[in-house]
Amino acid sequence: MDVYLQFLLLGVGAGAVYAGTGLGLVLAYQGSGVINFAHGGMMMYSAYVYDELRDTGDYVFPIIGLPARVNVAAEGTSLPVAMALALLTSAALGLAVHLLVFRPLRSAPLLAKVVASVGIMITIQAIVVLRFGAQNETVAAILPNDSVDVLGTRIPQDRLWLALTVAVTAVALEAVYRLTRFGLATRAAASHEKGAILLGYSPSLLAAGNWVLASLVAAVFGILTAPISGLTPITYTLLVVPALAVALVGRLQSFLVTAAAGLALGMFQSELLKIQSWSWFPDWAQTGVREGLPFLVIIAVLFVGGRALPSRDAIVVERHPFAVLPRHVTPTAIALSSVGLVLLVTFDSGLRLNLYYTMTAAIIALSIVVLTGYVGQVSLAQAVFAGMAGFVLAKLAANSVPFPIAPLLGAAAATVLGVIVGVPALRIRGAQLAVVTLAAGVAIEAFVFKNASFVGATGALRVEEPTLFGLELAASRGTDFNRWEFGLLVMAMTVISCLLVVNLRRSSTGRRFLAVRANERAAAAAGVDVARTKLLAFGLSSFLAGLGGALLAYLRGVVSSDSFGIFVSLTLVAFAYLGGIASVAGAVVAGLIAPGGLVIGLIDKVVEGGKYSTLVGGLTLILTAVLNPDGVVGKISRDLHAGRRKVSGPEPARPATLAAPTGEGS
Amino acid sequence: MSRLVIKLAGLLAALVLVAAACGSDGEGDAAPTDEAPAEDAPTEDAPAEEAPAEDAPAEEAPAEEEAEEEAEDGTSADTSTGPADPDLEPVRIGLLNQENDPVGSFPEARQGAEGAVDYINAERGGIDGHPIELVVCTQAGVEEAQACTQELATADVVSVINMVNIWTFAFDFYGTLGDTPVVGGLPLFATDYDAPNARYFNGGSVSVYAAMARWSVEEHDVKKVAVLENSNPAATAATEIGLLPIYEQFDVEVLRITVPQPATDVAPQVSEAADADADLVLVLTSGFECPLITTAAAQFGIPAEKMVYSATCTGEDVLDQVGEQMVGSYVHRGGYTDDDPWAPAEAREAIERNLDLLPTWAPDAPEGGLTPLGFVTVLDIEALYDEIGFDGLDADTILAIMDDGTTRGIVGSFGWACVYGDIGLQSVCGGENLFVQLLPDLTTVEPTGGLVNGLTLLE
Repeated sequence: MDVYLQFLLLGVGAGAVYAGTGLGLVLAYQGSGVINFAHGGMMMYSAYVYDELRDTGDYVFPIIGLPARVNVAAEGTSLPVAMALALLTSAALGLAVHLLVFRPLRSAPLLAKVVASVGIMITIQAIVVLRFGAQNETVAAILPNDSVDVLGTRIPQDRLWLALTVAVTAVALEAVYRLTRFGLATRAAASHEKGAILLGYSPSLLAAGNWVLASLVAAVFGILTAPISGLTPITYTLLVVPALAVALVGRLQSFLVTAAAGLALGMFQSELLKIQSWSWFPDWAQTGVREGLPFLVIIAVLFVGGRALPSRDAIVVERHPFAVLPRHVTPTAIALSSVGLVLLVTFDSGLRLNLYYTMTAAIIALSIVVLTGYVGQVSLAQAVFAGMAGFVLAKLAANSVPFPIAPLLGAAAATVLGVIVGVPALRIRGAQLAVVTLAAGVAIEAFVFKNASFVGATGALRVEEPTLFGLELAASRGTDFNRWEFGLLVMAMTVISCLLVVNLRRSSTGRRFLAVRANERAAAAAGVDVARTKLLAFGLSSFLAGLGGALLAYLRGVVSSDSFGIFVSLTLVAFAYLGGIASVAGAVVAGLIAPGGLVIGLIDKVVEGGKYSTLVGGLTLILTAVLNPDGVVGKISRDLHAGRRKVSGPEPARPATLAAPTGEGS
Repeated sequence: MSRLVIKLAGLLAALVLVAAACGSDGEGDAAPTDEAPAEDAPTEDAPAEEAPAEDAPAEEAPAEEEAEEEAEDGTSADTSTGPADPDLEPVRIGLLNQENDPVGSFPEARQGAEGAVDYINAERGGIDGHPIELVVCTQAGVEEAQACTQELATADVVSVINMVNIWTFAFDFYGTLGDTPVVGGLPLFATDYDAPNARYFNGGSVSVYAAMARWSVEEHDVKKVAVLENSNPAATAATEIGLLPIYEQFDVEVLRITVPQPATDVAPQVSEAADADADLVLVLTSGFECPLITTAAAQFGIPAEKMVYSATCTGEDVLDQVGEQMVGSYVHRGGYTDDDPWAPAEAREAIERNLDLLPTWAPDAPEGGLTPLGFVTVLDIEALYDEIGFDGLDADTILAIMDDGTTRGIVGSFGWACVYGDIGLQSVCGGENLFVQLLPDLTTVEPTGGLVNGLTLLE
């Protein structure tokens, strides 16, 4: 039994890291209702600043264009100086993020904030690479790190000190939020923004204060974590997933519960390491158990107390993205298909590859349009659904299941998975659902896509080439790359998918989707089966994602976790948002600017990508989210719609009915 | 914008897949070599200058004798001097490399290769007088890698150097190249070990792991080992192909402990290793986890003499931070370095000669990192293609010559010979390794076991 106690205690270190990260997430959410995916990046940046000051004495400026660094001390600064400068930097960063990004986005849809935070994450990462380099950094111990005996178990005491720091911080934050005017006002604004304003508090000022506080917490735990977890430009990014899990356990409100949940999660994960060594523990479950644990925690918490999870009562009603009602569908489809055919014939092989990437990405983006644009359910696991189809296709095709049965079965498998992941959506929505799907994606990726029992030792599955009635539809044969036969297949699937979504938007089902997006209670009162509608949306969406995934698998010739990871999902959501999250045309635009897409291919022919490309990409994402929350197509459509109204005059008022076509989301 | 997506797309993948392979920092003073084991790949300490072919596979042949003679002065087989003739048709060689990626960016490998091309064209007469032309394509994600590969496959190049490429298993890399052979670079994944159209001058992780297993049995008579390994396809394949067969052969008990990537805290894993009562603890992780594991090992009381590290753990930054805790530990080397005072004199001279070339021909590249790998890879290719001759440079001939059993490539290596097809490792061609012990001043002591050819052990 001692050994199990030992492993429980050994999990304190990881648990403290999760807890410390989770505290910062709760602070940011309390202050401004933002789930800050960039929190790990902010932790990382502070740790780099600290490490550089300690190692070289250089203070590094983050703003590209200004002098890169200034030497503060020739032989490296003392710990207090380095810590103080890193904390100040982090506080300034938090304030800047609030003022420049999230304050302007306070009335934007949840997804705009998600996209912006992803943009911040990328930007910080790019700045770190530019300023500090891509190499690993080993950070010297800050806390005492000798081992001590605890209940007969040898434990490195820096983990205990870190856990103690977490506990003290949680207690202090809880006290601040319960006992101080600032904390009480923040809580008031979080639960009822209008009431807070009536009491004379500025939600914006409160948010700024909380962002600074969250950034300071990020800096403290980023720095203290570095000697235990190491420091690279990518180290901290994934900490957001378990940290969000524990923050949700704390209902994004309670610092004490969040801290306790973080410690418990780390200890449980450590215990699993021991449990996995049991002889009966199945080999196929050796992979991904610990990574999947956050997902299980979230599901459990949401099912036990899902309805009690808090949501912010913001004063500004969020404006839903403009759900364009497609017009002139047949001529548009014919025209675009013709253009596609011309491009297929005239493009060289390289641009055809870009064209195929564009279309596969557009199909997956369509899945996001259906689920997020029409029904308002934010899923951050769409690439994982796509991947499920790809992997199932590879397995089936290897077992002689022919085309097109294999890809359709693959898409069906994605559909089943999507519906399962969508079940929590029956009880939760908004940010919580986004986190659940994110965690589900991480778990599936770890359990399935990286599971050697499923994919073999090479980590990838070969995909048999498709043939139909003797016609070879392979993407490439020899050096005949990106064949037009495959292009016709992809184009046909893209057109069918677009028409499917167009008709969905124009159908009563589409109107039910929009009704659920607008107001679930009102929709239910009008006779819409909200649960069925949501699950239908998840099913349709994941089927489309699966279709795109199957085509992507054919295009690459193999499937691996690399192609369908959770960050691919985040990226696709970001591009779907930039294109226009609630329109078919937006999905096409998303495909054009997606990884490997046509726009990118054309730009790459003209401009050689340089070391600033990632930075530019991150900043563009932020700017677009802030300046144009409707996305490219949404903006154009809204302007056109407004123009038409101006010409024709205001529409006569009519009673709301689900049978009536609605041009925009409410 | 594509770069943005590429970074994101690669982010998690890289965390999980290549952080293991992409280990340490980019500084150091390792000497040129093409011997860079997979898990050690993106690190400056893995590519170590190597000795003459004294322990190379002993199939005596005229070419080998010639090569051994050349090894003594550290030059390749090229007899040309002076510049190549710019009017002659160039020998086009493709180069695929990973750059501008937060996950790992290795421009120095390209710079080293470009420097070697300049050197060869200016002073070594190119290939039969024909200048070498490098067709470079850099990538930072799977989409770009696929596009690059297609581009190189149709670029009328003699061969492609797959320098650092973490995407070879994310799309049909070798199938895309088809008739264009891959010659040189870093094999990282299982797919890289046995591709019919690829030949790497080094043995990858599988070579290191096999050598490590055999060395631990012969030098330490181990009965049980604890293995700390990353959970990614590259590490898993290397362990299962390279390490386990050797230990099974000697009936050694192996406790495999997975270190996740990213590892939030390695304490539970290291504690399990400490509790295992193993004769040795093998650290087969990326350079990133090394200092964390070293610190934890000291905290859990694992004697330094029981720890065996792969080369990724001997980066300058790592040694600065935890070197004292590693004193007495064993470290893998792909070959000698100029920091090894006990290395054979001729080896050290060769190292210095090659290192002296770098400031002149790759002045913008950092001295360490993968610069030497890029430089020597091209020198090895030059030696090979000079032997074949310009008129014979087609895929079939190149592969046939490389597979003929002769040991070649003495420029900066022990020599390579592609003779491992029978054991499913037809793409990896060099497997010599050293296991040295760190001394208190962080220098090394001469290994008692000498050179261990990991690939030969698997035959």
